[in-house]
Amino acid sequence: MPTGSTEERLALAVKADDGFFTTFFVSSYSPRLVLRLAKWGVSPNAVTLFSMAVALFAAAGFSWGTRTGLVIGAILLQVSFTFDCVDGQLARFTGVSSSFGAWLDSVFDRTKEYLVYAALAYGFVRTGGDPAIWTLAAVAMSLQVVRHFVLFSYNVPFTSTQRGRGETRGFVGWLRAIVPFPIGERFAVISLTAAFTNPEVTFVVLIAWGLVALVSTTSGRVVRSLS
Amino acid sequence: MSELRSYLDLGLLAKVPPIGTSLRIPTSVGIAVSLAAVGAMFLLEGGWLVGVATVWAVVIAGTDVDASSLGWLMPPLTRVFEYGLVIVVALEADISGPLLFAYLGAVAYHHYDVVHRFSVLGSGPNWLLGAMLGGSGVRSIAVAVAAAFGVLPVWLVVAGIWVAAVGVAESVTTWSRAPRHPLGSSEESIS
Repeated sequence: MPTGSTEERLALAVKADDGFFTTFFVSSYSPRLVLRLAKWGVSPNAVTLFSMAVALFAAAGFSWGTRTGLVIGAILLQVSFTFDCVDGQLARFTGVSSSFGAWLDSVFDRTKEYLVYAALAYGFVRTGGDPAIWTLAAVAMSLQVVRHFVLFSYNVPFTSTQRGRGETRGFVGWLRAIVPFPIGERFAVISLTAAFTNPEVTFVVLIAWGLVALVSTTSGRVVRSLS
Repeated sequence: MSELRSYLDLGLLAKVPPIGTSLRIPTSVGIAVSLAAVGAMFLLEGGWLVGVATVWAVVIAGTDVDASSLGWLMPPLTRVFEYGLVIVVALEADISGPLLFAYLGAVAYHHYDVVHRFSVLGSGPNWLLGAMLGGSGVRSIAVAVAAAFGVLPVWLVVAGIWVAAVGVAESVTTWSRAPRHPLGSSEESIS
């Protein structure tokens, strides 16, 4: 069991380098959820599974393709994402982080995201949309895999600069955290564009922002590895 | 096998002499060839693509990524070529969208698995390297050949089901038996 007061341990359970959306729209209230779940004795892996199950219902809503389906999918995706952040915080808070749990969490993260892409494309075609949307979905997924591999591979020879705890970010600091398009921002884009516009817009935004993020993170790392 | 070499997903080609063991192609050449191959796949088709994929497969397997500070660029570039090639030939052959997406999803699962397993389980057993249809290089050659002979849909179905079934089954059985050791603080996941 980790040491320190409950408040200190809760604060430490929140990742230091979370994105803008995660920090302000999830981690602002998630510690309360963590406390409650810890009191009930719920395991982090159970939370991971619950988050995956909710994402399956979100995908079902998206694949329905109607406005109602898209709105339900958008809301459930945000519920799923909240519990996705909570599982890791709960694991760190209760001191039961494991490599198996990290694997489960990571595999489900990818599965959720790409399942939602497929569901959006399926629902779009089902309601009379152009089947070419599947190409957009395939490009969006491929781009995200490439972006993940820039981060994975760079971290092999170099350690990415981790923000220290308690360090506050200014405007530029937050901008630098938002441009790389982390998972909280991606899921927010998916929910907002799916609920208010249509899946075609979702993929166009995912691809456009993803390309900007790819160019900025890759060029920055090339410069750093040459200096 | 080094971590970056594992991330390249070379399959058994990584262990075949002399390609995978003693070519020692400089990373700068590997990066240049990868970029040229990505450009070429938009311009060429048929047998020419088979040629491009073959040259590219040999070069990535022979590139000494650990000798350069830019070696980390090779794994993402390898993903660009493999996924890009599938999308380009699928568009030309008018492949069904869900099939294209499912095939790429199966390959992506395997690629994430390569990364997740390395810190805990190493680069994976030899039979798995072979079972993944020879890694990025040989899978790309196979896709180019299937497209040239007009059998791309059949190949994507068969290869996609195989890669997904073996990849998921192997990783689930391996991880459920893996030691549940506590996570080090350096292993924060990338999301």
